[in-house]
Amino acid sequence: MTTRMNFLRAMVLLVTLGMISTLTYAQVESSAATFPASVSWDQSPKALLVSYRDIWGEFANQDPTPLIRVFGDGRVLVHYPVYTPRAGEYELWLQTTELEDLLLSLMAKGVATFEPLAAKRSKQLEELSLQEAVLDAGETPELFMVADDSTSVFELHLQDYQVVGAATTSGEVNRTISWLGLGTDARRYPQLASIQQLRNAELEIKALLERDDLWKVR
Amino acid sequence: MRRSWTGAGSARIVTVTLCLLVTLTNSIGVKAGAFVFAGENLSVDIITHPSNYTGLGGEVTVSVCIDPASANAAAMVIPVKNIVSVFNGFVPRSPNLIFGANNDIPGGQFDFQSLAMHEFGHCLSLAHPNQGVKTGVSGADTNATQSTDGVDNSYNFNAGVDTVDGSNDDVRGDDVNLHYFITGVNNPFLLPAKADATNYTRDLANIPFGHTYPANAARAVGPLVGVTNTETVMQQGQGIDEDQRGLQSDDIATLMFGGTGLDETVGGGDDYTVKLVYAGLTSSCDIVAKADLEPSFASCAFGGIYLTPDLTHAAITSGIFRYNPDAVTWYFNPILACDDIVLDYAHDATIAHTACGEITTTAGFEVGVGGDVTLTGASVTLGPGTIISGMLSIQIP
Repeated sequence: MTTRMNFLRAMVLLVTLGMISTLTYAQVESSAATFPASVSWDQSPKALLVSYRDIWGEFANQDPTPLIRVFGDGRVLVHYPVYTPRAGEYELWLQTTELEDLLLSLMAKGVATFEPLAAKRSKQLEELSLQEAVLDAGETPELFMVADDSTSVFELHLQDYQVVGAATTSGEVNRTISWLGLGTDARRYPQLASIQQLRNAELEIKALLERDDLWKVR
Repeated sequence: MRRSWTGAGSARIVTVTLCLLVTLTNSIGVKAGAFVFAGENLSVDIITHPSNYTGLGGEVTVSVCIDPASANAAAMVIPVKNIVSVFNGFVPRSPNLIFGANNDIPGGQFDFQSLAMHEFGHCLSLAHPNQGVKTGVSGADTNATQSTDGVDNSYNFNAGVDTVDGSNDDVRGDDVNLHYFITGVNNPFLLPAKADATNYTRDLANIPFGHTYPANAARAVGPLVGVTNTETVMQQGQGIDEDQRGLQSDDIATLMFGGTGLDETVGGGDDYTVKLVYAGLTSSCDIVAKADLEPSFASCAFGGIYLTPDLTHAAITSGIFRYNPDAVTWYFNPILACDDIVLDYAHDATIAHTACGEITTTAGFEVGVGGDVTLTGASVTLGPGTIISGMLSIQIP
């Protein structure tokens, strides 16, 4: 058993070293932005500021329309595909201050600065760290996997974003982020700030679905 | 199972022939399809085995159950029992895709049994033979054969001359293949007589002349080899109003390969077969099925543990299949495709049965030569996990 443990430990270390060597070009974790900050956006009705959808792993031929879209005039459009129990188009309106708060909150959660590659490496290292801890306890590390998890897809378009006293993000923001198994990773790796923040951003966007002023338009 | 009885009055002979296909225990062990845990993060060589396999040969029992607190728990019972029967039956079906008016699924609804079959497959060790949805993989590329992204950290997708992703002429650059295939054949729609390290491989050097990459058993690939409406259950991607309740050759071959055990060779003392047992409405079993609002749609989460020091073999330790009851309109198959057979005076005709589970009998039950079973009591009940390889004759006094 001791031999086996030593072997496992050696394997973990080898893999860890291999991964570290690949990190020379990528920061492991990016820090989230901090307040105070300001944001500006195109306020026209057709200007898409935020969109969100989750791609279901095992579901073929899904409707690619985003579940939630937030436009420059504060309109929030929710699209439930025809195959869902709530099928239809729903709508609500955000006041300018609400919209600004939402955008600033998403930015503060690092949606604009999230680095998928760095987060992926951090996740791998964290997993190895968990296995190391198990080995240190004299136990055999347990593998873990979730099959057919969903992929969260965020899209963000802003004219300008500034953080006072920090240089994390400045200027126009146009980006799309995809992450497989965000909820799963947030639960398994509570220490990884970037993943926690992105999960919090997802929950904040999805909270729009539960608002009382969301009403069906067709 | 076919059963008949002859005789009348106080002496009756009930003869039951249980279909081998229905009741054979699953022999798992050949390299086909792909295994969960195999990949760049751990090792591309990992072969994963079901819960309760420790490296010792014999029958491995995996219990499945339904969390009683789940929404739709009662409606899940028949589909789950049917799935147990199908996995234990271990028979490939082609075609195994039934659409629209040709199935019993109401239009616009999603078949729970077909979905659960796929997720149970994961919880038993099977991975997707195709790429499926991954970060950076979408659209038609999801049908390409399962692989890593290679040293360039980028998938190389090229559907080849036939323009069908996942077929045998795909050009995949340095992507490392994770899908096992029959040496020199590379046709996942064929079921080999055996599947072990002597004839199942991931090595591209064993691909037939003219092929460029292992084919997977996607529905779009089948027609290229003369097979229609057939797809491996483990292929990621099920649609609305789609019945896929039968295993396909590639599912079975992968399980056969796993069943060759740690030495990956048929005939070794570590060979095993798998039997699923339905454990009822409880949350205490090897694979728990439950409704949950957490996955947007459905998933199977599982743990595992290494079985060998070289980290090439692992076993599932626990599995939870979750589905979101509010995601779609689910269809729960109400027809039990297997049954808890009770042989008594009412069984006075030839009736085909597919047994769900264990045989329970009254006193007087005897096992005959060659697996035949003879009963001399008043009745016999065939329940979950019925395994009779010969003829069941029941003498009712």
